[in-house]
Amino acid sequence: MKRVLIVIAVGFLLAVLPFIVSGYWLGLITQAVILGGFAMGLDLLVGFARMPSIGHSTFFGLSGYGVALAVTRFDVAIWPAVGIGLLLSLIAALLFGPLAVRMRGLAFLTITLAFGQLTWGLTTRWSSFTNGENGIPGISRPSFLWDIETVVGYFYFTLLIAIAISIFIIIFAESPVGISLLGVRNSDTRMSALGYNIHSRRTIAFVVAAAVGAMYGILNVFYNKFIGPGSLSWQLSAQMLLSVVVGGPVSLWGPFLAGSGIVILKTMLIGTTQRWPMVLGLLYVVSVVFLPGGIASLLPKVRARFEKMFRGRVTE
Amino acid sequence: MIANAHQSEHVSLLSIRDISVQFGGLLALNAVNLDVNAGARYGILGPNGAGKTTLFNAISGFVDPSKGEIKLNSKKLDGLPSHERVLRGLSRTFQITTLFPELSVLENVLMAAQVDAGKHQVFWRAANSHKEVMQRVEAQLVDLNLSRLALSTVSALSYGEQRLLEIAVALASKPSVLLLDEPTAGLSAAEMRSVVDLILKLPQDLTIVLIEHDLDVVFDVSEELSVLHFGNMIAQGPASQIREDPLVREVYLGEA
Repeated sequence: MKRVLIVIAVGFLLAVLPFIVSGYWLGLITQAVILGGFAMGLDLLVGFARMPSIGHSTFFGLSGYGVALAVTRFDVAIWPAVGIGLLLSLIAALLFGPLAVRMRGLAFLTITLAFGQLTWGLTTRWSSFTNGENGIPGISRPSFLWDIETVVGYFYFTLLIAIAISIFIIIFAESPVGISLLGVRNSDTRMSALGYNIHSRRTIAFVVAAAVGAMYGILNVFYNKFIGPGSLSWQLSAQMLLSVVVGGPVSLWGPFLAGSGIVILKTMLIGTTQRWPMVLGLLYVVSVVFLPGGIASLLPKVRARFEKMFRGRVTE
Repeated sequence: MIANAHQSEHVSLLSIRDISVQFGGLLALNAVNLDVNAGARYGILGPNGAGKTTLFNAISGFVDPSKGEIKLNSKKLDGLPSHERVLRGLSRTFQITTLFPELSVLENVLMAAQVDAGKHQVFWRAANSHKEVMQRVEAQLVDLNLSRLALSTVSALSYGEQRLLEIAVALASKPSVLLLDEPTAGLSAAEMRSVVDLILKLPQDLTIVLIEHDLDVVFDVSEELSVLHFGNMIAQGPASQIREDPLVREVYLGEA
């Protein structure tokens, strides 16, 4: 409950951003919220259940493609197209998930990569339908309670949905099912000996992370008014996986922070260096070596430091 | 007195018929029979490699027997995955401590208790908000003198405390049959005593099957015994009789 309140409070804080920052930055922050939220959902799979997926951009991209194709190829109205997009991702997750969760560790990583490459390959090759490498432009945003065509309007739209999804993730994480994901990561044997079907638990983690990715994929396609195979790329999956690791698995807020931070860092650096992946790699190495618990592990340290300062003052 | 289906008419709670387990060329269990009555304290004795843990694995569904039949409450368990056997009332501990090392003592017990309370599919409410689950967890921790450690991480516990928690977690599933796989393995004499006392204090209607290496523990706890040797059941009967059995003395107690 406390964490739900924190999410709402942070949401309110972010809501003042349009009064402070420029339109350029607001757009960037919108993107940052989208990818940060995606990373937060992935934490349920990678952090909680400790299943390192390098294919979850599949569900992020597929929902976007679902919307785009439904609108441009089949003249579906926008809101129903959103439903189709989400459904497409969900079906893919329910198809890939139960197969992938039978693998562990590196094998799981590899099979998620394979599934991801499958959808990426299909999308890039099937040009007559998906427009291949060129992607699908000209996707208009749906009508909503307020005008979301403007940068500010779309920021608030994204923020609202991100808050809703984050609250769901937090409630889910603290629920009996969420706790059981922590059990699955620790000991399969013990979990089955306690009456848990471990394959179904792992599938739940896989599908929920995919569903969260799919929802942010929808926000992404409307933000860009465009979808291309980049949204399905393994590089995006890897960036998300990295966000979870750098942010601090299981903390939820850490991956959100890292996921959005990486977007902003990338945008700032891409103008000055051609070697963005190298910077990302360096970031990963540094964080693994010096901060194995991720950004989230800093909080207890900071807290301890404050407590020490406070205590020091009291005893003085 | 010998628990044997051919001689007694009444149906035992846990009944094992002709169970064989084959690992490649090794016959780990050879047509083993076992009948455990409700409320029994049943001991399984045998030297290393005798097949004791394999027997537990077969009962709890972690290995598939190549032949034979296992019944709990007259219902066949064969082919059921291990997690479904738990829901039928079977719970076990492991010889090698199998807990969630990164979670707290409370969370470890909670993981078991929420299944028995039927709350393990709930995803819309905090796990610690189910009153009946929390009360049960608390009671379990109090029973086993673990409440002061409730919030400690398991990896920070002593080995003896972990062995106790292993039993607490198995008990939190509220089983009708509890399989204890060498609960005192590696414990000091004092710790061993406290585990034995704990087992003796467990409710009389709980059926306990105990694998033990330590003869004092086995004879303290169990009224009836089976002795395994290289996968064969070489003796079965009341504890007093097993103690005197010449074959058992030869293979297990090392007497000619």
